Amino acid sequence: MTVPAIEIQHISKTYGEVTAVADVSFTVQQGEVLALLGPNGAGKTTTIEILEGHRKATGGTVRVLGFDPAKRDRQMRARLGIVLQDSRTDPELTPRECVAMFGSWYPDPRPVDEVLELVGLTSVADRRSGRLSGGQQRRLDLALALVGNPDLLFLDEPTTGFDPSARRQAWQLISDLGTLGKTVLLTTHYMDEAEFLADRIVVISDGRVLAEGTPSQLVGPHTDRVRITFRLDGAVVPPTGLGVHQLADGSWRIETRETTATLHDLTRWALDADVELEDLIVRRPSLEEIYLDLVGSTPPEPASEGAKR
Amino acid sequence: MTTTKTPGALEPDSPTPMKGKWPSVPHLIVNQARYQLRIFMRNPAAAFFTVIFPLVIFIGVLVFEPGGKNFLEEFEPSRYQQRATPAFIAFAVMGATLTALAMRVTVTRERGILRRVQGTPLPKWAYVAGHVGSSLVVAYALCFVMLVVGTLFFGVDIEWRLIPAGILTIAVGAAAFAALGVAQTAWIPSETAAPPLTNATTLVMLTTAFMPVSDVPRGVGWVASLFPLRHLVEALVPTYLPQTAAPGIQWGHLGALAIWGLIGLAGVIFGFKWEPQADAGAAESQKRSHRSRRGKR
Ligand SMILES: Nc1ncnc2c1ncn2[C@@H]1O[C@H](COP(=O)(O)OP(=O)(O)OP(=O)(O)O)[C@@H](O)[C@H]1O
Ligand SMILES: [Mg+2]
Repeated sequence: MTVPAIEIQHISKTYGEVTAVADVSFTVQQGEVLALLGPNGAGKTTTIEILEGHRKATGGTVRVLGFDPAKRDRQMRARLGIVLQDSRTDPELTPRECVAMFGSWYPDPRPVDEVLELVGLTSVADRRSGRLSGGQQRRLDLALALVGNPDLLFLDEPTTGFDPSARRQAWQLISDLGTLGKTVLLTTHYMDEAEFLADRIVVISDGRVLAEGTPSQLVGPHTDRVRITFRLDGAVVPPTGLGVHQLADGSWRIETRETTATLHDLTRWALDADVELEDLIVRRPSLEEIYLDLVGSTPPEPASEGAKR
Repeated sequence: MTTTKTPGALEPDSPTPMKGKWPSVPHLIVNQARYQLRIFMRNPAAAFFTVIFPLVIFIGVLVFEPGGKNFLEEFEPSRYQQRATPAFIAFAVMGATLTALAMRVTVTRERGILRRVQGTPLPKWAYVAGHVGSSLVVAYALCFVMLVVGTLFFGVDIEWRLIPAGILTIAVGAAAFAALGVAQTAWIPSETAAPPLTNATTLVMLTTAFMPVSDVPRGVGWVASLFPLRHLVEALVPTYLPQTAAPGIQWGHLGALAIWGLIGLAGVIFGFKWEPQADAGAAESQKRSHRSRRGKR
């Protein structure tokens, strides 16, 4: 019944002959955390910046919190928190001053100290921003997105440059935002990040939506399939009857639904032929593998795999 | 805010569409000007070129009294220092507004700071007003310092009855040059282009303002007399001279400055850019190589 936080219908964006976004549609409900995934140049930043009002779509319709973002309504901007992919702040000001300054522009800001604490900048809060490390500057970007106490956050690769523990801390922070009913649209190149944070994932490539769903829905069609990988010494070739194919790195892979039987057949062959199955791994495909299959950057897969989706 | 809370945890709040109160407009502008002033003072190069540099030249010129055949001769027989001080004050006002703003605003635009500000509810004009406000504060402070230096060390007499005219003249001049400074950023394509282009502007202003009266073809002299620094000097110098009758307001020159200010304002309204300009090109070529790499796969 409530208005969706974000509604995009068939937007496109062209620059002369370049098509940055061809046709993207999706909806984000209030309180949802949506991850936009896709390879470099897929159109993620373009899409987000259209939603932020930084760029105008060539075609299609967009609604953000019920507003048309191209109109750049002040009421709308008061409710947005933005982390741009590439962002700078005044290097002469300290993080504390930057956060206080940004906060002073909003009707309902969060306390400065609280925000600094949240992003873990308290210890360097009085240093000049220009002298912060790359990851610390990125945390400042996140702080500036939070200080206005927004209902909707656009986070374009927010944790790029974060060390592993800072990333975990940011994950906690973002999932807390989700718990508070804030809506988050983020992009990332880290699949574990998407898997940890996202209620839903939209994969785009070349400006089009390739797949959409919850992390488990995306992995879903593949979950009854198990991947068995192993290496063989030298020129030994396993029997074709097992459904084996070789990957680019020389290792072998079997996709199967009958894990036990297939493993049994494989190990019996290995014993009979007296070969060692090195690096034997049995597992379900990860989100990362599903993603790589989707955007087509993996070594060629058997046709059945592509058709499966 | 009174409740205790665990640090690092977010507090839930009600999801009403609009909470709190908008900050008032004067508060926004004054606040922004204060931050810009702080930024200015932490920026040694900017502070040097805007404040120290004109002061040093001013003192040097007063000490050596080079005289010269520019139109300041018109204002004889008053003492050289009495004429040169207001001329230098005019120059300093221009440096603190036109030059400093053109540099500073270009830099903030090219670094993407303006772009980030655009995504917040701060009205754009309030942000620009903050820049302008801080430059006006610097301009007035500099005027005051020069006046004090001139009075204490070089025997410049203050004509108290002309003070209101002087203040009005500086206000009009500073506002006009501030508008022109912000407008000029539209013509500056990158951060590296900012120093040469602002220096060129300064040179044009100086040559037109202090051009010798004799030995110059009439047409050239006439064109030179249109430029704003010339008008500011011609409006300000009389407010320092004992022979000027009160109130001493040079309405003609102030009117010319106001026209320049309106030209600047129009330039800001129609030409001002918020997105980095040099960066757009760089990002585009980077993106092109992006695509060709992807194309090769
Ligand atoms: N200002 C522009 N001018 C021309 N082309 C552009 C412009 N902005 C984006 N593009 C093109 O649009 C495509 C999508 O760019 P975008 O920045 O949205 O990608 P992205 O998905 O965010 O990539 P990344 O993961 O590298 O951040 C790129 O291939 C780029 O060539
Ligand atoms: Mg991007």
